[in-house]
Amino acid sequence: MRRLCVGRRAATVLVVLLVLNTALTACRATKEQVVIYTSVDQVFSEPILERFEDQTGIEVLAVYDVEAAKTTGLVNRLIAEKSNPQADVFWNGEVAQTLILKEEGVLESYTSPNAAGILAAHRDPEDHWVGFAGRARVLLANTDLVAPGSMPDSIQDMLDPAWPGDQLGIAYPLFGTTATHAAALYAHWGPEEGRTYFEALAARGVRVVDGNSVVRDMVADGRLAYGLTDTDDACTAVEKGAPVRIIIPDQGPGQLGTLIIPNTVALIAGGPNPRNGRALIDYLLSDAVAEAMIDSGWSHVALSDNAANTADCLPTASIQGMDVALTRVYEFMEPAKSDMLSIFVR
Amino acid sequence: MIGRDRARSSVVAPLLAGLYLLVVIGPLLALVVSLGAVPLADWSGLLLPGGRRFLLWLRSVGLAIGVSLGGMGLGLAIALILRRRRRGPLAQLRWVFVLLAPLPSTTHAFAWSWVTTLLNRVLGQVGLRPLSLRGWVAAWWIEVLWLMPIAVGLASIALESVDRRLIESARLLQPDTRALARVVLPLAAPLLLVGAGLIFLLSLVDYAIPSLCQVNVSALDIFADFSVHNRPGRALLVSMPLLVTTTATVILFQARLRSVALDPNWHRATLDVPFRWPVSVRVVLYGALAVMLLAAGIPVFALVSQIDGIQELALTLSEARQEIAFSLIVAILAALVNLPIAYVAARGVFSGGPPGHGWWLAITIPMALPGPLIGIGLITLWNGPGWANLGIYGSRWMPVLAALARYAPLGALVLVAAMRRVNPRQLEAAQLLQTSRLRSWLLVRLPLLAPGLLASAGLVFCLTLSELSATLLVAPPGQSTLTIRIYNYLHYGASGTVAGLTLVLTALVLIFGLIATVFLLLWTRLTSGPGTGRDGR
Repeated sequence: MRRLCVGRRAATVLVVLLVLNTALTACRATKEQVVIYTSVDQVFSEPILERFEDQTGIEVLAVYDVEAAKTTGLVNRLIAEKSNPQADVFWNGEVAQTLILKEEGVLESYTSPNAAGILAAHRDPEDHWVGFAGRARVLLANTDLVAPGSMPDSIQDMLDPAWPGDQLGIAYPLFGTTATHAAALYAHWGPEEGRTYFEALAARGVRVVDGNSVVRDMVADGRLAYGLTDTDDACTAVEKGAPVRIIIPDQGPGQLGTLIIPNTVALIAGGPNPRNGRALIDYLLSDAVAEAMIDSGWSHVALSDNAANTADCLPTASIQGMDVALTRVYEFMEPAKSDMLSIFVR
Repeated sequence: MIGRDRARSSVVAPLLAGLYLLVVIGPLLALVVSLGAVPLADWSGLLLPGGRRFLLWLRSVGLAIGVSLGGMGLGLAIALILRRRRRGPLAQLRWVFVLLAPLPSTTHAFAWSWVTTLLNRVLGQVGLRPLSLRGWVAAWWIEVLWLMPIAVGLASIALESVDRRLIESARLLQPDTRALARVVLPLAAPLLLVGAGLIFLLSLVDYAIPSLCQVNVSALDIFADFSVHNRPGRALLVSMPLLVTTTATVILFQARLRSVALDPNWHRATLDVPFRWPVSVRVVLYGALAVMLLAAGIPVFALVSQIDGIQELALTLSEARQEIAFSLIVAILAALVNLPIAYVAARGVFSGGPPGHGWWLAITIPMALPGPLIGIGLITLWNGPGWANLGIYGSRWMPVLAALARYAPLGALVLVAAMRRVNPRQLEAAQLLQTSRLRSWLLVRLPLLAPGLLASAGLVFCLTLSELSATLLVAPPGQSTLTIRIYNYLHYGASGTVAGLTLVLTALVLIFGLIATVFLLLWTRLTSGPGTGRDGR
């Protein structure tokens, strides 16, 4: 009798749990869906994904990253989900983490017909990812604090003793595009010169802040004279009417050029909706999206032969990029980050 | 009848205990399994911090001790000054202030940054040097203000836990200052120390405020290492010194809390005649009160002043309605599911012997785990072989599970404190005279524990609303929370939108607090019949 009661109670508890579980898990729609993980700010990526929904009728289920997660967010989620993938597409605001995902076996090869116009330097030779809609690393200066004749024009100017180190700023070079920039400098200059540069920045007391948006805000409100950030952050400050000027560094003859960081898009291996995933990738690589991203202020350099180049907020119509292959940048990611950890987190 | 109740109990309690262990300890165990991917040769270098990492650890511990001392010192002073007010608006001010606890740490940091910028404009106009919001002192100051609401709440609980008859006896023989120093504080010390320990832990695992103040701490080092190598097992090893520190802290304070918790001193203390302080003490106490008003006022003022107008606010809210609704569902579910599992864990603490110690560890160790590691542990567990077929991973349960993994231990801790305040003689009487376990539970234990259950659910509800790091890793595709949206706009620089959304978050917490306060007041009236004192006599 007691065993019967125990069994009945256990069954009741199980039924309650199953009902709750059904209530929270069975709300998935039966219509066509595609799951995308994106590190591009929601304010920029959401309208583009909504347009895809309108055009195709495929429902887009997005997961967004935030800067506060310091790139430990979606990339680690994708690696952890590798045995049972939940996403179909990864749209990254930069490139280094995408290369890590390829190395981890998270991505699947896909040759999009719309990738044909993308420059070879911004495509994976094995088609595991494609770059599009670039951003550039720029210097942002406060025009109230820096006179027109004293404007920096190179990242080497950050070592110029004319400016006290604590009036200059960069984001932690361990995360996001600043980490990619550090790795690119390692690849271009060699690891010794790269390390020496960052050690000199640290020795000068250059302020290392929590993100590129913080660099932007500190320059905009006059707490920094100038700093290194991305075009999307810099253009936001310009659009808000802050007393700032954007400088594309190292554009002179024989100079380094600046790092152009493409958005990257990739198909997840074994994702639940591969056909829709491919359709979404084709859409993201279209010229219309490249131009929409420039209009919205996220991207500032089109990487396709057909799309218009550079955004209005930038001081020049063309940008001289650093002559460094993205695969070489990836090779230096881990050694550069390890050095940055020992130089800046102490 | 009794046999059937026993049968029910013998099924439900182990089921709930198993659920607590699965939800809270499961992610930790999943992380431990991932240690196998770390080469053995790397273990010693990662486990034992040397050079740079040792210095970071030392500084982090120093900052956490400073925050703990400063926070609890101010919290105690404020609790003392507010305790004098038994009626009127100031009487409930401490509890309203406690409701500000879930404001994200970055809100405080950005609010003070905004205030500093305004001040510097004024200082610049009069030719004075600008203030700088960077360095250890700035990080300490903002962390103290961030954690002070919790400190005030804990200090208030500690003071109210002291038997008022002992205080009154001491006050008959000595001045109030000596009674405070020789009787009240020593008696409240165990709970004050527990509060200090909790604040130490929260400060130790936070890196948001230190990094905004350009101060490096061990918690940031763990994230940086995770970012470099993308290996959760390795990150777990790197975080070991921090975990050992927090576990040692917990064990140290646990001994105090255990003795308090098992002490049958269940009386509530409310003084009939408030303390009278000399002028010097009053200056200090009112100074602390001014700091509290700053801590509460500056973030709220900064948020309100950055809103771009009512219409913009309405538009912001309209656009974020899905996130607001989803956040509320997650927070309510987390608060509700927390109650039975946290209750069983708290009951386990009182079972004594090795099981009691085991439950203590099951409550305290998970509190030391950083949010992103819990998120990775949750993915490994719920998306792993076997579990993935349940369909829980990728569903709306995952943010609920993330919140429970992080905050159910805190909910259990609140219930441990609440159980201590229940008169054991009432429970014994109910047990002797009961005809049904269920009736006994509903008619005796539930009414006695109702305020504690409400506090536990409220704490989990509030903290869940502002949870980011674990939720980000497990949020179902197509769903987002209010906090994720806030951080997204923070990067975009939309200060008006961020301010509006953060105010909504604060308002949700305050509304819950208001409902809880009304419920508690009604409850107190219903349960205190004529001739029954607040201390249960």
